[in-house]
Amino acid sequence: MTNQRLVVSISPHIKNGRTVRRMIVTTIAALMPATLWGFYQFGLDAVALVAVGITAACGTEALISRLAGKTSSLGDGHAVLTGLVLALLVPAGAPFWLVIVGAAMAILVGKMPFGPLGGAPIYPALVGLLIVATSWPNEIKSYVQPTTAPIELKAQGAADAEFPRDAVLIDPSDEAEYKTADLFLGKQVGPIGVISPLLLLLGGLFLILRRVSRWQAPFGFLIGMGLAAGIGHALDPSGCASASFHLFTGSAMFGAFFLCTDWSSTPVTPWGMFLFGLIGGGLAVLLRIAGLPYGAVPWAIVIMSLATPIFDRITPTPFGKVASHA
Amino acid sequence: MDISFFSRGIKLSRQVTSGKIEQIPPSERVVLPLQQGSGPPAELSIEIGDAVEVGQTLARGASNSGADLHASISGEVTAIEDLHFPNGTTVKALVIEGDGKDTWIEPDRDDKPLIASPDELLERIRCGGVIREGGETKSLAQVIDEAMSPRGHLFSTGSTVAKPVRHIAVRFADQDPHLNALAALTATIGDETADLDLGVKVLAAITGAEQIHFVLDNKQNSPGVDKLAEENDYVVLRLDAANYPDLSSPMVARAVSGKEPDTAFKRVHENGILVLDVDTVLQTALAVRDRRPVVDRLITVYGPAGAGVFKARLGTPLADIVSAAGQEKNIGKMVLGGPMKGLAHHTLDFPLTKEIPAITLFAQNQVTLAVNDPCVGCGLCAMVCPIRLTPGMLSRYCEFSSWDLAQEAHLFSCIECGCCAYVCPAGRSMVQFMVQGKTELLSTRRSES
Repeated sequence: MTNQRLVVSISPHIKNGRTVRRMIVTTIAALMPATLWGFYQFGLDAVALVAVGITAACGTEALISRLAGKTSSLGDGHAVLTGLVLALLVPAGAPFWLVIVGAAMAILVGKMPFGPLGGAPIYPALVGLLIVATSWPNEIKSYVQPTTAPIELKAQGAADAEFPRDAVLIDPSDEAEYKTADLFLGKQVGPIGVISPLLLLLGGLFLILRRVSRWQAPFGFLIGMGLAAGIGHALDPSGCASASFHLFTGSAMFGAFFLCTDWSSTPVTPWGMFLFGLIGGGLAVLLRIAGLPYGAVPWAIVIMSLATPIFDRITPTPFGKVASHA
Repeated sequence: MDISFFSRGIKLSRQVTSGKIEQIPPSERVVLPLQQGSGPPAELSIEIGDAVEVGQTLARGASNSGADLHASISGEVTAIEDLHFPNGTTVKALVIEGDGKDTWIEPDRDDKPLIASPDELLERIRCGGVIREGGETKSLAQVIDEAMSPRGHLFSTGSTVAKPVRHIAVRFADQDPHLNALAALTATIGDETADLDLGVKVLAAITGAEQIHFVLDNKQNSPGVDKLAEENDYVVLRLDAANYPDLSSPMVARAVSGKEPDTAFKRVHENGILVLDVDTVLQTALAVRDRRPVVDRLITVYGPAGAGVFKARLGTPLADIVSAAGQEKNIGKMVLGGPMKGLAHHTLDFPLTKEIPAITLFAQNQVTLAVNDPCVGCGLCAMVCPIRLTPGMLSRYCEFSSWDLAQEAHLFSCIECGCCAYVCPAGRSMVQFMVQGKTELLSTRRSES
């Protein structure tokens, strides 16, 4: 007894048992309803694309870890999440190689150069997505008619003209064709995982309640989009669709709840997160109106991510300190 | 404006107290370190080989306000030995071999202590060896001294010059909800509030405090304490102890004064708010009225077999206390203090001192090794930090030796409560980084000046 050495360590001596892996698994679980909806709407093509995306991401990560002589970090599930998110942001008609290249690029360019998890300045899946979207602007718009969408998909050949902005037709003159309720319930054209705002909203709220993500960035983003679109619509109804249309189409909901809440590429302070979201939302609407050829929401979030270090400086006044406005 | 919306801090499970305090009989051999809390060690006032009785002064507190050290068993002082403290320092300690008679000194009782002058009362507290633990453990007399004089080291006359103490808050529950010594003590007080009453009045007389607050856990039921508060116009405040660290001194100070005390460099009591545990107040009453010094203390033993509250003589080997609690089997880790803030020690071969409020034990299979992965930037720490810091960022500054950035980001405001490390999914040793950063900065400052 007397010579038995006990373990020593710094306090606290208990933890709540939360691990990176569990948080990532929770995030993947929160994405599942929207993913399954995508599978239902787009069939086996979508299932295959998602499987390919996840496999490519994991394979790239394993390969690079091996080449770099690092212990594989596959176990934390981040590669799976990256592959999944990438595949969900791609339309069901996209070729397999597009998803493979995208997932590989996400890991190769977006994640691995920045060291262990937590180093990436931009969300890796967005890096992969925007690389393939910029390189193959036609393939990234291979939209497919969903099973239950009330609107007929316009001819594929017209994709460039008819589906110019952020995955869906955001041409105010066509807005009348869409019912807001249909859009919200997920009866719309778009990439595999983003067409159901309702299920994404539920998944996002689940993450917030589980304290995996915070409310500030997502709601800041939605408020920012709503405000920008609302003002734009009031000023020029023919040039800008209504706020609800902007919020329920394209990757707005997905971006708010699953891209704005990434760890390393978004701020961590309460006001930092909120302003990040608010400005990002406004920027997304601006990019949509300004006619960015593809992916206003992803681009807006990528641009905001680059400013994350600035937002992280907006720290709350510490306990007992007097707020300084210098 | 804080837009976190979630309450800061973390939810911990609360130990339910049985309200029972078990006495551990005086042991045959006690070891009493001369170091009591921070500050210089006490100065020996007896010689090796002297026979001592329980309560006899062994060493006089250093400086004007250091606490005295007293014999906790009767017997013979046989040696001075080196004792390794968990913080890495080595301290001289007295060894007393007991004679088994447990004879006490008989001090002069003073039945009307309140007519004594504040200076006299403060001196009796000092002689009684009363220690204020929590945060920085030190002599209660010294704490009061510092609270009343803004520059304690220059004007430590203990007189009434200088800064008023506006509030005294008496805490009736432990800061860490895993511990229940104070709650058990409160339950045993019941309606016998004479000591408590006297202790509070003595402290109020010394400090001239304007308002006394009783801080209880909102699950605590204590009619006696409530009645005492009502009779004397004290404010009773019920906080949620399960929401750690709401019962820590800075948070209690905020709750009683409505103002947040600055936690950097300035101690809470230097903001005119004295936060004391109820057992300190009771010890104060005994020290000024019965002239009974502190020779024992209340301790929670919290381990795999549950929690129990014990009262043991100072210097009792911790191994004896752990055995008395029936938790001696399969120990993998022992922490002096609660699981959130305690200091781990490598051996049970250590005496009970005034600074140890609890022993937390972990079975061998409960011990996990530190992971300390890189920060993933999830921001959970920033969400729970009660001081509204960004601990993840601070930990990175300290990890990469950017001490100046850490200081700019208010590293010194950190109260080391451990909430950030508790939630960290990457298993980072957040408190380690904070303490390291503070130590580095302080040592640079010292070498520069």
